[in-house]
Amino acid sequence: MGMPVTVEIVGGAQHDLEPFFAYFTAVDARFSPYKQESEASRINRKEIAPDAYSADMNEIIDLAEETKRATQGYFDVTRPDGTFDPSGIVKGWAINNAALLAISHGHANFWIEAGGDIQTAGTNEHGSPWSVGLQSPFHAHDIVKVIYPHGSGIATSGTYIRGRHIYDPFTGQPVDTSCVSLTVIGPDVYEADRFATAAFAMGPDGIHFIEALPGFEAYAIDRDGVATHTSGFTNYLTP
Amino acid sequence: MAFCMKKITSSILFIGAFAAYVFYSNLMQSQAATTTNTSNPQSNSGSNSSSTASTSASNTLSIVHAASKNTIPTKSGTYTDGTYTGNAVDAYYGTVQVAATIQNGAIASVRFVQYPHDQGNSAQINAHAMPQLIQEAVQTQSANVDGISGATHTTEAFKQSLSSALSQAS
Repeated sequence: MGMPVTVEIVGGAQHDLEPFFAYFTAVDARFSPYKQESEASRINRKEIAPDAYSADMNEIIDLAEETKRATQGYFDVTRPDGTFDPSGIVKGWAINNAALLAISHGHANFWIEAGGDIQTAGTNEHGSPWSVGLQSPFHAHDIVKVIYPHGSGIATSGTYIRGRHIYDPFTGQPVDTSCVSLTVIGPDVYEADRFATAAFAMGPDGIHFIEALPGFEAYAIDRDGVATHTSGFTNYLTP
Repeated sequence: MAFCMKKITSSILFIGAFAAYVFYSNLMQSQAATTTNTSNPQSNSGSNSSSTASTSASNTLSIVHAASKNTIPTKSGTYTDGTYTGNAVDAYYGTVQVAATIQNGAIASVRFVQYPHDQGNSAQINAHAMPQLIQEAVQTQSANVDGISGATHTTEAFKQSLSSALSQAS
């Protein structure tokens, strides 16, 4: 956690934003490893017994387990030092929940984003398909690709994340890869986020994993500026 | 741009931040970037508006202060009412310019006056393609985009423009 959150509701009023404000605040309060009194931090200090975990925490733990199985162990919320860190799944899960909240409030056109992961619906304020620029891992002020998600979720993992490491759960070390950025497009941002995290931890095999995964596309950039993308990725390049 | 009320196509932009990093907590001490240029006043078109709520006493979440070292000081109740247009700031995908409306001394809304404009598209090079996978050289694009996906997302330009608008209201 600890990231900018952007919510845009086309045709909405300021008060429409408040439930989203409240929701992301609550998610941060529960899951942030940077907040001493978050449920996640208290769990790491063994201050809460497993049978006293909140429903949301249990849900995240279950989803993390399922993701670990689906990624041959490459997705793991337990860091090498034993710390429980669900950040790799909470972000996409929270944005997805916020998107469901938006739909339940009758909003058909919106953009919900946290930390560079995005879920859109409908069209932007000009009635055009939402467009997402992929940030260059080499120059933060550059875009290297324009994607039109058409309702799909987008998540980007990368080694240029400030202050964070993605670990290879099998070596306990930061993943050894020449990949500096991996963007995954999936059916929703929850799916995109969890598989982006796992695929990045797989190193060079990650892009193959996504290619083989039905319904997902990816764009990987290596440190030499060569990009590799899955065969269906080009479907997202047109408005 | 004519002021138009009929078409309710306003967009509301809500910027929220989880101030989880230590340096985010220095919200009230940091100084905004000072502005030296006079902004061009623009009439409220109403067709593209965004709003942020002003921060409360909480130090865990700030809406106006997006996650960055360059925080925007807000002084609740001490802004002069009115609408102030910030500097046009070069962002990585174009120019960003915001206008802040102050009501009752606090930020009532922030709206985008300028947003990036589209120009280019990409070129593809098929190099040694792995089976089914396609390789290409990464190329910088000039593009009109609604936002950015990246592992390090920044709203720096937004903050700079907003900061310059708030400086006028102080």
